[in-house]
Amino acid sequence: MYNQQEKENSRLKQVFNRLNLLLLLVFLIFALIIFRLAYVQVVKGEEYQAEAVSKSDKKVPIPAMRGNIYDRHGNLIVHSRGSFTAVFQEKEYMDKDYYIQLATKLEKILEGTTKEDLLKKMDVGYEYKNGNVVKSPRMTQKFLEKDLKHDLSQKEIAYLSEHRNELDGVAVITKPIREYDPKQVAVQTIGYVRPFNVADNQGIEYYRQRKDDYLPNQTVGYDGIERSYEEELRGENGYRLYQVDAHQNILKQIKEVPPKRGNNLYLTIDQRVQLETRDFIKSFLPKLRATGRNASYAKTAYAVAMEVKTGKIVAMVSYPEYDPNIWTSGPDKETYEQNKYSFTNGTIRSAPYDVRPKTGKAAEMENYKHPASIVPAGSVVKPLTVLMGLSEGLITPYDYWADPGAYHYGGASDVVRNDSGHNYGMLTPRTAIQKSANTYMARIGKLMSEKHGKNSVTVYQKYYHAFGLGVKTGVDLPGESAGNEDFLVMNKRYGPLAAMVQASFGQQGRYTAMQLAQYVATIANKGVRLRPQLVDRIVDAKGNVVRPYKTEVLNVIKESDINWRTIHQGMAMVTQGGTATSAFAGFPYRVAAKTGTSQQDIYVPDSTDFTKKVNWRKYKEINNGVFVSFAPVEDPKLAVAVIVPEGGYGSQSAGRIARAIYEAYDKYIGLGPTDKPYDPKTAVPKDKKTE
Amino acid sequence: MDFEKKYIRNLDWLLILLLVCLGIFSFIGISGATTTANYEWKQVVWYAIGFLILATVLLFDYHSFGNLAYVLYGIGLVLIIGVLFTPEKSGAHSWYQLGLFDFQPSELMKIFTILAVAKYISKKDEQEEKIDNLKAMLPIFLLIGVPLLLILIQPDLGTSLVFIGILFCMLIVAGVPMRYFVMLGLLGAIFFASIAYIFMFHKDFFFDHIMKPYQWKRIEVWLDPYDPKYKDDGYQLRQSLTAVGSGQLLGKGINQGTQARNGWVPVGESDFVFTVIAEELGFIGSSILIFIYFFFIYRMLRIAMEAKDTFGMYVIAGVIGMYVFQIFENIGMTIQLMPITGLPLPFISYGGSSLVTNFFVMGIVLSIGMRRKKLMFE
Repeated sequence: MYNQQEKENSRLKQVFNRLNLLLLLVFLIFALIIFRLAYVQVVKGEEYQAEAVSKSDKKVPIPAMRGNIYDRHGNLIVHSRGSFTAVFQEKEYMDKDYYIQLATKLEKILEGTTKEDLLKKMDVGYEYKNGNVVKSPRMTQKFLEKDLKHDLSQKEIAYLSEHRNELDGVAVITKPIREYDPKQVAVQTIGYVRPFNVADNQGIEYYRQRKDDYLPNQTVGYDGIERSYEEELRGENGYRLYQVDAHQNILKQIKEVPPKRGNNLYLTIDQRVQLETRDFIKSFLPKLRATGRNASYAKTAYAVAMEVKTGKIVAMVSYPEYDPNIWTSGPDKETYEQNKYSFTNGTIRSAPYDVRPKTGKAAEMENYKHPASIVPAGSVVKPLTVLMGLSEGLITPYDYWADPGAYHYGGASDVVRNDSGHNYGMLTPRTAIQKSANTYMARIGKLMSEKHGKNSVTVYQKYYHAFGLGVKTGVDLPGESAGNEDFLVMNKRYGPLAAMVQASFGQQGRYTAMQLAQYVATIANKGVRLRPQLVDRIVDAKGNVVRPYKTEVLNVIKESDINWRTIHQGMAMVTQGGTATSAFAGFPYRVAAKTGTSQQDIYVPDSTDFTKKVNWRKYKEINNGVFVSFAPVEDPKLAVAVIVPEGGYGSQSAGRIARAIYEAYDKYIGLGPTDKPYDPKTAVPKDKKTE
Repeated sequence: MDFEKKYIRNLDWLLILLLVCLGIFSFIGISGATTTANYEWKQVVWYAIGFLILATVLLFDYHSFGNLAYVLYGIGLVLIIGVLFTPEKSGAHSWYQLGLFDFQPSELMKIFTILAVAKYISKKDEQEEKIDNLKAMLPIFLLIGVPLLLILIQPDLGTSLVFIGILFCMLIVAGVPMRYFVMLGLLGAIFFASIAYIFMFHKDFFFDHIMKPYQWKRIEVWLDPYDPKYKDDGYQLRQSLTAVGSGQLLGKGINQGTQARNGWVPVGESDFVFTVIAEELGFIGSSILIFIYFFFIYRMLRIAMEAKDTFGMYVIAGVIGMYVFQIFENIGMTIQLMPITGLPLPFISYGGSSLVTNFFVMGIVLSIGMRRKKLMFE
């Protein structure tokens, strides 16, 4: 037994020794792997990394089709389509002679082109000047594809492909082209597209961060809806992934990810109301200029119509307009000069006066002689001044106050007078609005400064900002202006009394038409400030609504109902025996309004060479027509704000345009309690062209 | 069936945890290699099936497999002879194509052979006979040689070489005197020397009788894959080296391997799965995997040392031989340490039949550990 045990033990001992030997061998084998791995990955790692990069994959993007833009009833305004395009891409060996030779050849092949034009589009650093080829700066990067001609005919395509070898650098590709309705529907609001590299060069932050998502010559939203809804419209680029060797030869295609079409936008804009408003302005302005009446230079107009209960913008005109299709081919200098006065959306930011047909230096000089689109609001702020007076307890709804005709508030020269020196007799808050009494407002301004002293400006701002004046409205467009609060400067220079008195009747604040529309809609809503919105719904390529409309409340102002009623009644009286009576005579609904005729001093420089000292002198004093309104008074549906710079009396210029908007709205949608059903027959015909 | 409560306590839970770790590496590797098919999730399903099989095997005393060893060996032989008459798939008769999945009988044959050899050696132990002469060793050579040759003619060089690894390990643990290993080494040296001689001076004879030119080329490609002559033949190895090397110290991140994801690494989900892991997780990540493997082998050795009888020890020795050879060959071929052969990386490569067999094997190993004797150094 003992022997047996002994034997068993020695046997086991031998097995243990052998198992340990095995462990040693395994350890050595694994150590060998680790050493080799360390050599490959750590010692030689960088070499292999360089190799991995040098023959990495080539990603060739496939641009996505941008989504379409429709009006609220589905009438197409903007769409994308594929277009056969001749493109040129420079190669290293090419020189000046080759470029000229190529442009000369192509001139004969591509119908409707000239070699001068082609050379410019090739953007190779040369251009024709008086028949000679001279050096010129490149507009874009050297190796980018340059579009030579869109919409090639079958004949042209066939010719180009047959003569491929003689036309090195030229290729035919299908390119998505953005096409805008030639009727010019709210063109600045919709905006336009430009090649990605242009947007990137202009330093638009959004695009700088997204270099990898785009092709350099892919068109991207540059302004307007096209810009603010870029994310929805652009879709998603697809790509083909190729395996390439060190010489960039394609070995095989690894995969293909098809592009995803962008979403379609349905705007809140009603094309019928929009175009009828625009057409009215177009025919009205020449008539207005012809009346004389301080309006001889009225060439621009800015109008916004917003639905009071939802914040939907029905119409929005920044006049003059232009044809955004000019951007497709990258407008030449001449086209650009002709249209540049129309690019900016004057309803949300400062747009220049239209000085055409003047050009060059003369145009530049002329520009100083006229106001831009953001002008002093003038008397249209008076309802807010009265509300502020009521809310602060400075006046009461049934106050009577004898109009002094001239209101003295500070020193001997500090006097405020009514228009044309009128004296309106006994004034209540309502009649003060109706008659647009400056003296009454000045009184509230003075009481304000007495109550709040140094803090007056802050309290005043609190009221104005709550109504959207002096802050951005939040409209879904890029580059919105918050207006100018000139009373801040006045407060700093002359103190709160002067600032409050001057601001009370609108001479110390400049606001956009969009801000005025939101302001008056907030009054109509009894203090509920809504975000103005332009996109009714977003629909994907399959027709599913991916984002329905949602009304957004920005803030709510709490006031007693009697205060709101006082303001509404005062504004309703403006069209009934007040300053806008004639503008709304015979209109079937009661309209609450406030006219404004803001005075503005125009200063011009004695020279446009700003490298030297320039003297500014007062050139003239002008009157801008401003108008805010809502209707019907009892159950407000639509709010309208109109600015006609240099339009003279607000009621006669801006007021007329406002009435036209109400009429168009009532005709197509209806100011009554229920909307009229949409009748496709009333749609503006497709082929109707604006010259 | 026999089951006692202490078995649960005796179970090597750490080894099971290591299997889960290997599962995670498997998931990372497979998902990094394929962008289209959901192989990684199918692998998860196979893992689940594997654990079920493992649990089932645990219910049986491993001696029941010992008693059946020769029967199983016989069944295995029938299967690998039968597979030679099946239709060819990727140039070899290695698979029963069952429609639902393909079954590779050589995977099963490995463990059946290990069981049979262990049975034979432990029988000798019981008879108190030592395996110290050729006569005693001959049955072992036969038991291993027959399946080896049958698999070699499929042809599946990789799997048949695994049998050499099994043989080697089992002979060591069986206590075969060292002089035989020395002799084996000498024989091998003479063999290679004579092959080299024939290659140098009698090329025709060499290529006619010893090695086919394509087989020789494989070795040449292995030694110098960057030779322009081997533009196509060296592709796999070059791609693998580029991918592994470009992973560098820290790797490119999970699913960020530019080489693996974009189809530069051929069969990245199966034979070259290590390449994908090395590219994505770098030297640190792949070293962790190798350490897990080493720890995994070490735990099995521990089980062998505490086994109730020598049968269990021999089985584990065979299993260790099988895994170490496969791991070494598979990882080695991705980093130019070994020539390329088609062998899966155990527990990591995508594939049901190898994974299921491996879990069956682990079931036997854990069963041996569970039914161990009392701690020996008490």
